[in-house]
Amino acid sequence: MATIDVRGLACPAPLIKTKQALDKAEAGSTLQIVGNGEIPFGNLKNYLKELGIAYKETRVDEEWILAFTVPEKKKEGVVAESFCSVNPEAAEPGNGTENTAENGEKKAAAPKAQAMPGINITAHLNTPLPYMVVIKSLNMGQGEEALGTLLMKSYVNVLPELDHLPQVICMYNEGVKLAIEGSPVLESLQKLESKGVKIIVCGTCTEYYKVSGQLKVGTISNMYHIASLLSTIPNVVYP
Amino acid sequence: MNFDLLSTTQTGGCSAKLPAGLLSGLLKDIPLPKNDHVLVDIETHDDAGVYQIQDDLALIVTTDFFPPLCSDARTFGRIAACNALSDVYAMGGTPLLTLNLTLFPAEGIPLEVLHDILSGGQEMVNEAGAFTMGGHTIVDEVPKYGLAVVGTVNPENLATNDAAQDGDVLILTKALGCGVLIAAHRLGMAEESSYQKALAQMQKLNRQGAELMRKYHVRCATDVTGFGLAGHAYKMAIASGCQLHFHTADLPVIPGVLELLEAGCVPGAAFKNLDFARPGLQVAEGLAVERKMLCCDAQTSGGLLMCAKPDVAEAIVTELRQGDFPDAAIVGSVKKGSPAVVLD
Repeated sequence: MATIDVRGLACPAPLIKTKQALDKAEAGSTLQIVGNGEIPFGNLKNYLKELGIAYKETRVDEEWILAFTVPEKKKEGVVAESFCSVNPEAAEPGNGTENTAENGEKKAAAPKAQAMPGINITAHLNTPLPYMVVIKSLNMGQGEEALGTLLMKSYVNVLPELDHLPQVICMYNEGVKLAIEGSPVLESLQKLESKGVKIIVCGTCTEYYKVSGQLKVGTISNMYHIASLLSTIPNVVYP
Repeated sequence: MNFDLLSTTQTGGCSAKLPAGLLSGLLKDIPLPKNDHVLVDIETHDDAGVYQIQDDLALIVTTDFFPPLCSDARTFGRIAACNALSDVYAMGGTPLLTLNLTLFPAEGIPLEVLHDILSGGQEMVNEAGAFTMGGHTIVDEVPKYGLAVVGTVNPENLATNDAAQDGDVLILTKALGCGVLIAAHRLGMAEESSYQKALAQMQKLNRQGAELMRKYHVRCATDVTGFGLAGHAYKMAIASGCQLHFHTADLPVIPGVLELLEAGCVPGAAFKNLDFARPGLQVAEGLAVERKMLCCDAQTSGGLLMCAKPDVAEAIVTELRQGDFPDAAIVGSVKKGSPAVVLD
């Protein structure tokens, strides 16, 4: 177990030293932070909660110790659970830090789904990899527009019937118009959402096409989130 | 004068504010009488009070002062004065009269430092076209400085924080991250160029923002200071009874700030602000911790957050960018619903 001494340091130095140790430490190892003072104690606990890390606290007179297990590394500040639906904050707005312990455990477990693709072909076949469907236009494939829209419609309508559902459906550019009132695939998208498929809709796009108010399914998101999804989900499908 | 004002205090600038929740809790049982002339009072937690004295004239009154947030006395004076004047601009008004509020030790710090603070403050008051009418100086160990300000506004041009409407476009005029950079500078972690940008931005009067609000009939605004973007937005959401949605990727940020937040440089005030905004805060799944904390970073002399009609928002931002505020941006929109701040 590695010990980090932050005694006598004023905020935010204890947080920075903790973050440095976290970045260096091996996932699964234990870290303990020894410090003093009530303000650093409160801030550091809040910081760990925000990082989704469950800790154990001990007090000895004026000093305190926070001990925790180092979670799996995240990529470029992107949380691994973006496609694992374990963010309690999204499910229950404003209640984020109440259930820290649970939060931490789930986050530690989340990266399982992130196991990198292509190493073991047999494993591939047995356990299909998580995938994301990107809907970037109203058409499926290129060619006659009438055929394209027909194909897209039947593709999305078939999706809920599949055994292996996508983790995420990401909609951008003209594709966002399939998530609004009057869309021929609205019912299927809502069905997919109720089955736990995350539907992410590009906010810039709904603003651009002036359809933000007509959105009937999915969650508005930004390019940062979309780019993170594109860079972390093993398979991306462009119908 | 080479005296490091930062050596006198740990919490400078607006981050020295008492937590908002604590304050509203204890003010509850002190009733404030008022008459019909009081257009804006503490009830909506707005930036300043407004009292109408004629059909076309109302007075705006406000005060703000705090301990040093930088080493240089003149810069501190300029920032503190700029910050105090800002509340008048946030209401759509023009500063008219000011009073200096000063706390300074009788010994331990050379008196020239006090001179430089006051002189810096006066520079800002001059720039605003207001007049210093006097002030008050009290002995205290840690220096503190700021202003009480009286401004004027035609009630037709009054911009309050309770007038946000469904469909309004949110504009932020200055970049976020001052609180992070001040903390990082203390620890020697801040890039000098970023820190200088923060200092320069804090000395930028919000005057042009107020002028544009009058020109484009913007009736809802606040300045983003100690409670951070999330805190001030939450106050606006409660006062207006609506939801403020922010695209965090569109928020202007001083370079280097997100990296500092990622490295753990999260000032304590950000956690206080998070606690304040938490009941109304909805964070999109997968939003990085540093973006959420950026929204909670306490700003000093921060920019204006305006709610503009969609047909004028682009024009306002264009004028701001061509003028004093190159970082101004459209950062989100107002939507119907129970009061909330939504970050995606």
